[in-house]
Amino acid sequence: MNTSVEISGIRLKNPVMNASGTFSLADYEEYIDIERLGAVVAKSVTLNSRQGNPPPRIVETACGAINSVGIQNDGAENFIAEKLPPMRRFKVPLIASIAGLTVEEYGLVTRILEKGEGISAYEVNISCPNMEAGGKAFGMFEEDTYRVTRAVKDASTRPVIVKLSPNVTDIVKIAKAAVDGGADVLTIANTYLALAVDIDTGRPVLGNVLGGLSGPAIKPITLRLVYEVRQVMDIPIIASGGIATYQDALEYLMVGANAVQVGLMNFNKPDIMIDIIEDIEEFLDKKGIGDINEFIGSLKI
Amino acid sequence: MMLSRIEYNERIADGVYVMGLDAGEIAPSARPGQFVHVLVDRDKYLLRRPFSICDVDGGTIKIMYRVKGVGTELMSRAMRGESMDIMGPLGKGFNEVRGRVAIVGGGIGLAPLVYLARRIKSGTMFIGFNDEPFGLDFISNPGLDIRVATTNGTTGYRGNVVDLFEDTLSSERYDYMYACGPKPMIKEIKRVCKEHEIPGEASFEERMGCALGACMVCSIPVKDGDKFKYKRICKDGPVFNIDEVIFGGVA
Ligand SMILES: Cc1cc2nc3c(=O)[nH]c(=O)nc-3n(C[C@H](O)[C@H](O)[C@H](O)COP(=O)(O)OP(=O)(O)OC[C@H]3O[C@@H](n4cnc5c(N)ncnc54)[C@H](O)[C@@H]3O)c2cc1C
Ligand SMILES: Cc1cc2nc3c(=O)[nH]c(=O)nc-3n(C[C@H](O)[C@H](O)[C@H](O)COP(=O)(O)O)c2cc1C
Repeated sequence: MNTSVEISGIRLKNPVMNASGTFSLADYEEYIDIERLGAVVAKSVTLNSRQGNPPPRIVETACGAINSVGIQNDGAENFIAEKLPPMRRFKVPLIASIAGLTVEEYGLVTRILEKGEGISAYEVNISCPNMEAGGKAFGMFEEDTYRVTRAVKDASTRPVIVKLSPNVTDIVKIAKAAVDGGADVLTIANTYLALAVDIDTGRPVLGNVLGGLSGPAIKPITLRLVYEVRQVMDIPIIASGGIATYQDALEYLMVGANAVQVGLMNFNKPDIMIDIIEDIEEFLDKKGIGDINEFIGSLKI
Repeated sequence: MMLSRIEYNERIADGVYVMGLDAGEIAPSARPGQFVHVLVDRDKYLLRRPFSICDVDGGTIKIMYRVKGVGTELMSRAMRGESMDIMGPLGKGFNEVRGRVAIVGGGIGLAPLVYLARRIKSGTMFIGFNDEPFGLDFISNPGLDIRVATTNGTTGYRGNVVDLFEDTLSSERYDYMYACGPKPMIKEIKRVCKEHEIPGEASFEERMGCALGACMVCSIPVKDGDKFKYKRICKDGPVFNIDEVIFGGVA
């Protein structure tokens, strides 16, 4: 049986990878056989190191959680020097994640990451606040999405995956802006802006007030976003949103995603991605499907 | 992660339980101050809950917990023979030092101190409760003097355990201090230790994600020169030097 998929020239042995910020090779290798994954996505990095948001940074909600980490990271140079070399020990495609607070920063981070060996592609996290324009996420606007994508693409020799924000009225317009900017692949999508209140203290639970909702609660909504984009575009899509089981992954693939990412559920079960990979294989086997690529996009309306 | 059979789950005080878990893979390497990450209900509550390893007895680990919300409420109803999905031992535990030590704890803050209290050679444990003391019978160490404070004065010293500790320091000398309890209490202990030049460390809490060091969720602000930086409770802690931790807000 063939479970391998190709995304912008990168061959993945199966379509399952982690979502940025929820997993790291060094911390998870004791719990999961990394080389069985389709790919690994690193935590987003910015130009300079960032402290992130004040704690608490997570709150559990019905079938999910809201997080407000705020891209705490040690910066792009540190990523190349310290984080990347040990990641190369594994035979698995590595995707670096680029973040920034200005359009220019995205380009600068890309230039630094270009020096790193063994990176298969970049995922561009455009859900960061645009500090030059009121602090709303780049990914909420077509123009900003275009400019950020362009800034990365112009500096990049590697495939560029743009990770869309779901906090938009028309995802198709934003997807098109990313493609116009040079996106080779889309990841759909990041977390949903959300709030939790502590009724005893009368304050927000999260130190940052607002956070991003993820987990099974969001799956049907993000599935709809993938569906809407797939209806009108041929670009490879990686789905990210609420995947907890092989059925969730298969729904996304059926709708037309070429690969899937698992985020929050890595906290629930650190080797959950292996369960999902094995269960997908079993499902395809039972259905007599010899190649996963036949299954991808097979949704009948 | 592993499925671990519940050997007992007993109520030891109002809203406080002790659970024994058959955890042959975790127990032998568990150090005082480390914790386990417990999946209470795989489908209902997606996030695991962190609990200190209260003690180790052969292949059994003991956790002592206070019913706080939905997860601990569910745990309190778990029955002997059922299984819990746990990960661990996680984090860096207490540094075990030589000399005469003071252990200061409040309420459920006793949990990580029990195992520690069993291991030290000589010293005093100051432990505070609001009303009825609990869990003290878990500690058997002839080298350790246990002194209790209760807010309502029903047992031992009437008042706050930090005041008890501070009073004692006018006549006794300790080389090192370990603490666990609510953050405001640890802040007070830090002040007292500073005045008496006693180095020490404490176990801290924050809401957690992966508990493996990857997700940057359980951050605690610590000094970094004249600035601050966040460390991870799960991997760099949960035990930190009391001098290092910043209490209260950071920029
Ligand atoms: C390293 C560490 C060790 C701990 N050891 C113990 C122990 O030995 N005994 C004990 O009774 N408690 C301990 N706690 C606190 C314990 O984890 C929380 O009381 C528990 O998670 C509450 O879960 P709940 O579902 O009942 O509460 P809810 O309020 O319903 O929980 C909602 C969410 O918030 C999280 N949460 C709530 N309060 C805390 C808290 N104080 N710390 C971390 N997460 C929290 C929960 O994990 C859950 O994700 C420890 C915490 C940490 C970080
Ligand atoms: C704790 C946490 C940290 C995250 N950090 C990042 C990040 O640094 N960059 C990014 O692009 N997405 C980040 N995300 C979003 C996830 O990658 C993912 O897109 C989102 O959580 C939806 O997937 P899920 O429902 O499977 O979690 C983070 C999510 C969580 C829960």
